[in-house]
Amino acid sequence: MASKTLTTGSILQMEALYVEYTSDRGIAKAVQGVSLELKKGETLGIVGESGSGKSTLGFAVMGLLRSPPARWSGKISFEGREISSLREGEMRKIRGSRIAMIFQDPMTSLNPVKKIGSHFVEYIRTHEPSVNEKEAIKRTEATMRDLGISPSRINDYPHQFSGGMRQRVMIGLALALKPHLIIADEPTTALDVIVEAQILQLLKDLKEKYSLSLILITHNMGIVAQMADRVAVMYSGKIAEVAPTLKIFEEPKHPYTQALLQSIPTVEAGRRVLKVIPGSPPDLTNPPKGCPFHPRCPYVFAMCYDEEPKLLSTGEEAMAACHLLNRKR
Amino acid sequence: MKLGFVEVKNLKKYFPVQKSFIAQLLSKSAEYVKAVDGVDLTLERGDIYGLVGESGSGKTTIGRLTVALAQPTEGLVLVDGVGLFSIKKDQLRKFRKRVQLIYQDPMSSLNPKMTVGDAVTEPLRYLDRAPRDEMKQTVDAMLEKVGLSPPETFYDRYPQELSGGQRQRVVIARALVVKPDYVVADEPVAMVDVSVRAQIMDMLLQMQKELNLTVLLITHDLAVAKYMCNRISVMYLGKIAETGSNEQIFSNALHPYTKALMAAVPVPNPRARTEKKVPAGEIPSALNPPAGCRFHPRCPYVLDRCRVDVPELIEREPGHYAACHLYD
Repeated sequence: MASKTLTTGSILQMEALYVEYTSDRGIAKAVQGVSLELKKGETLGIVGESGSGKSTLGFAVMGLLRSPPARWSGKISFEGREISSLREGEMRKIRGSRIAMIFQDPMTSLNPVKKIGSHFVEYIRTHEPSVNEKEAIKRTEATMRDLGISPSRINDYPHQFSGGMRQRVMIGLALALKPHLIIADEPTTALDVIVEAQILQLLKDLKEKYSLSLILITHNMGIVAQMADRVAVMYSGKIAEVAPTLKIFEEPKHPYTQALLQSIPTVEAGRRVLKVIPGSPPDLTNPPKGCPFHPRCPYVFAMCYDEEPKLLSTGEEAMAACHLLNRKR
Repeated sequence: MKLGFVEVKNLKKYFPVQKSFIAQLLSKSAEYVKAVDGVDLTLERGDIYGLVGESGSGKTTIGRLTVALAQPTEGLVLVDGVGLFSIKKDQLRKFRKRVQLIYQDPMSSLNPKMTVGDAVTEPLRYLDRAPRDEMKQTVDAMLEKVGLSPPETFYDRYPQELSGGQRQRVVIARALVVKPDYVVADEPVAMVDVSVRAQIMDMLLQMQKELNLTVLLITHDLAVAKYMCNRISVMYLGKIAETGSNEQIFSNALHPYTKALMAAVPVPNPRARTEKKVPAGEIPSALNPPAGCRFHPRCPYVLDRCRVDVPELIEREPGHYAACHLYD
């Protein structure tokens, strides 16, 4: 059976995930019924604009949502074990050592009065109390070599590092406990383009070397095109479309994916005409009824206004949530 | 020699570095961050001129200097033949009508306590002093033009009630309402959602045509420069590495730094996946820039003389300039 490899090869499953935040402007429906699976060794790109719910997904997997202001439901399983109902004490054993996260801004994530090496040593020894100082330093030096940073800089402070080096350190910290799954949330958004390319290459190399599974959260279609095996496109807290990367770029089925691809400028040869997407991304405290993309969709018809489209198969490992798919059949 | 509409000549801006009291006692020589270090630009009327570079390359400082929001350490900026730094104060106020800046971040550049109408009227009040109903008409027309239509539904709203794209439109309306000739747009779409960027870029292109603007577009995003600009200068550490037409820069880049930037951009095409060969390291500090060519420590084609001689920006083919010893 074809699905056999799928079930045995899965490292993470999200089922019917809902997350809401209470704010003074009302209840923001950040994630509305997301089900996703990540295969072992896979790089899954999650693309979306600000407010699409992509970062919330990452926080949910990491068990970093706090109530209040967040409320959530649904099931998250990691390596065959349900983690969404774990107590904080149990989750702490998984967070960092099994699933680790890389955040966008490396400056706010490092302690300015702590040496680079101490970040690693403390982190390792907190999670693995049996490791002595000497061993922790040895592991730190090995990690620094992996990152392309000379171990001689172990006693430097964060401010002595450039932006790119700091982001390398963040990647190193995420890898320090040898996790199996890395969630990288806009890991290069704060960086210049050449450094971005260096960091993406480093992520690729380390993912190979340690056979990691990777969730890459980004708003940049270029980054997913270069990095991901599969792409999930999010809009208004829902998955609009999910498919292998090549299919997303060459045969996008959801009008939002199509529109997005036609609206981004590129440096590739030939000056293209861009297609403008009218309107703005939805307000999560008051998302549109029916299909959330209907106010901006060029193909909108009666059904889209009040009936929410379900994810339908559009090919092998590919799904899209659009009423047009039903109509064509 | 015929002058461009905006002419920048040997522009320099050095920022003194604040030193501790002890350091001041010990040594007298002040240190400077050379943010802009000898830049020449020529913008013809109607150009959308791209100034491209990484953070710390000095592009924003140049933008601010060319609209007289900062004083240079050395050099000239002429707009329509008028020297911005030799003009008298009362004259400068009048001149401000002609040169405007579009700010990057629509959240921090709009006053949250000011309605859209007030925000767009404010520059007119200072620079135009027209009768109230006339100003209202001008503002309404401008709101309509930038796509905040119909104007009366936006006039009394506050920035936080608007979407990111709409806020950026307000910022643009505020700069254009006084009918300037020359506009500096500093990263006009960097903070805008991906699906809204094309709207804003097309609106800016439309405005340029309608108002016959000369635009200096500052961006770190090569794709944005490619889509919008007819001429482009690439900056590195306070100096221009390369200047050319859109075609010349994107089809026949000369400077190794321009090539590196181009190669580094993640292309939204999964079939164009390549091992990225980008230079190691990062843009060094402008406090202590490398001798010779500033790019030499990272350049894959470095020659001996690159470590010593500062390369000049020389015309290598008609209209295409590169500051690189490889082409000498």
